[in-house]
Amino acid sequence: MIKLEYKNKNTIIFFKSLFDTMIPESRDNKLPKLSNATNVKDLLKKIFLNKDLKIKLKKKLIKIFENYKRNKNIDYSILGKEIAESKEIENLIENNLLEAYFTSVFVKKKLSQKANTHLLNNKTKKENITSLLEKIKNSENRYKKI
Amino acid sequence: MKMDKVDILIVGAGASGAAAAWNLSKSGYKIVCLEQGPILNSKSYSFNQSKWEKLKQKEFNVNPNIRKLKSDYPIDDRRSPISIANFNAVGGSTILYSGHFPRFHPSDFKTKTLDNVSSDWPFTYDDLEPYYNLNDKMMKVSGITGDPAYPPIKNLLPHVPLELSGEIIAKSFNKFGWHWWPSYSAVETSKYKNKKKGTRSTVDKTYWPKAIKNGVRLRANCRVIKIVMNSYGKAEGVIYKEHNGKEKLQRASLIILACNGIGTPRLLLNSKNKFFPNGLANNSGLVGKNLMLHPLGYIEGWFDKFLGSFIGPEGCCIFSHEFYETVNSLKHKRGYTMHVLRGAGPLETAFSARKFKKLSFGKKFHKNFLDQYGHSIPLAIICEDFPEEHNRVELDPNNKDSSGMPGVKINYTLSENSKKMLSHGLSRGREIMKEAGAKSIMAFGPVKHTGWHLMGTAKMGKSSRISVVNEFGQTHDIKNLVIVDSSIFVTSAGVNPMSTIQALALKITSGIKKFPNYFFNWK
Repeated sequence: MIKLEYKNKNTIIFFKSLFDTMIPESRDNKLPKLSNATNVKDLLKKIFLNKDLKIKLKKKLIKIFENYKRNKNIDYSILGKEIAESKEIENLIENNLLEAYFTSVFVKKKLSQKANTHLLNNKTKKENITSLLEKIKNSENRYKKI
Repeated sequence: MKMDKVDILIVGAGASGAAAAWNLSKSGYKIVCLEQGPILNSKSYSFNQSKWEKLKQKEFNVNPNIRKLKSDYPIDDRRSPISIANFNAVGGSTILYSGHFPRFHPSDFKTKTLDNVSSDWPFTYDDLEPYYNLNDKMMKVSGITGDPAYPPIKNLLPHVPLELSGEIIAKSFNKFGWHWWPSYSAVETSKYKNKKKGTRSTVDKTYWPKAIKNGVRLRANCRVIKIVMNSYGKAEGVIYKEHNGKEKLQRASLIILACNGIGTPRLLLNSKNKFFPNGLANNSGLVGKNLMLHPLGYIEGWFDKFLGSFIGPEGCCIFSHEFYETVNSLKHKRGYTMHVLRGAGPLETAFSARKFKKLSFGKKFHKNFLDQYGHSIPLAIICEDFPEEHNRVELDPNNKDSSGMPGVKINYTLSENSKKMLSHGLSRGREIMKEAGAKSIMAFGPVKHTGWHLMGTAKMGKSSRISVVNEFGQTHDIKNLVIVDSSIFVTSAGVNPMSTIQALALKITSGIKKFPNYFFNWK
């Protein structure tokens, strides 16, 4: 079993792999994997500071690690990936991951670039509000005069 | 500890308290305002900052039971399908509001006469209009003149941009021949540049600096727990607790309550005494009753095309009052606003997509996310709510705030009229989305976390038997106790109430300036 301490080397390797499997780099390489968007140590610190969450995580991970007890040379990176794919602890940490990822200045900048490119490529032309409003502006009143 | 007596004491530094303080501030009165929350740095709640979505999850959550800040008080809303939203600080709920700033319709003041529902207000739209105009100027309201849903509204700042999503829905309204108009917004549109979302007009930045400059003393982190009376049956002052727990007495010749539709009845009910065993100024028995909340329906349409629907100032881009007035052929009376919102930011999009199982982790994460982000347009249905005595606010002595003052319990159910109106609005919303080309549409209501508009719990009226305050905001029972917040609303209308709350506070305080002897207890 790994120690649920944010400074522990194996813990960092394990969770970094788990996080990056859950949020990998996008296929077009324009959106980063989680560990490139945010500081994994800081994220772990935040997760472990939540006592209830830490207890729940520990319970789940103890069970998972029991299966690996006999294997002396655990590859924490592979294990992190496998656990991410099994989705066993996904619901416990998903809010923290989404929050860390989508409030990352780097990710927001990339999303903004992507949005601008998209709108430019589609040559979205803004309508003239006067012509849009023409029909309604000349219509009957929609309020009752008292 | 006793403080020096002041002429006017205002309780609450939110939307109505700020307008009241400013309006009275040039009259030479010694004025103090006590606010239970802190003074915030305006940068901390700016929706232009990158962490704004994150802050809205906790510190700036609309739900006080999630925030649990020292300035908040417990609100047990388990007996209500709509939970209460507020914010307690200098600026009040304007700190978190979207800035959508419509007025009531003239008919909203005459619902009894016109539609035989609720009661008429003791004055008309025309009486309130000068104060709407003044408030629009103070709050820097933007919009376009010429809206057929209202009598002329002039001197507005340039309107908020529709952006692509607003244009798509506007075209859809046009196809049906239904009313729509760009939002009236208290958003400084001059600061809307480079896709930044602009600056909301919050009262800590509009009214308060001017009021303080004119001499009003604003004391933050001071929670008023009780109004005390003298032996002549007049309000003598208030007992309040400072942040450090120290209890003080502030005496005043006139007390003005500006604590919203929950905070005001809470304070009145907690101030019961031998003259008023059921709560202060409660001879009518109506303090806390007739709570109106605006049941809200939600429709979201998803489009194949990327719309960038999150672009633009938060809140409303366009609205429709096509179904605002009573239509005799429909099953409900009165009506609602269709309120086209901006799309969610990335974090809220992700949370929502997870909730509705549209986002999975792993290889499909980005594709799933990008299929949602900027592809949807939300539309809210804001229904007029009728006053019903069983919808009420009560003290909750078992659930106290950080000062030891009881919290509140909310008992609220939707009326049959509201259910029918909501159903009608949800159907029209679906039609609009379908016509606009949405590939999928979700619609539901009432939405739980939308109890922002807190009205009716200290109703205004001419008769002391069936109302708590008179047409001048003065409580029928106590001459020098005045209420200026949304608790005195007679009807709820079907629009966001902020503009009317502040116009009403300006109207009432103008009355105080004009006829001081009618209100003050100079003894």
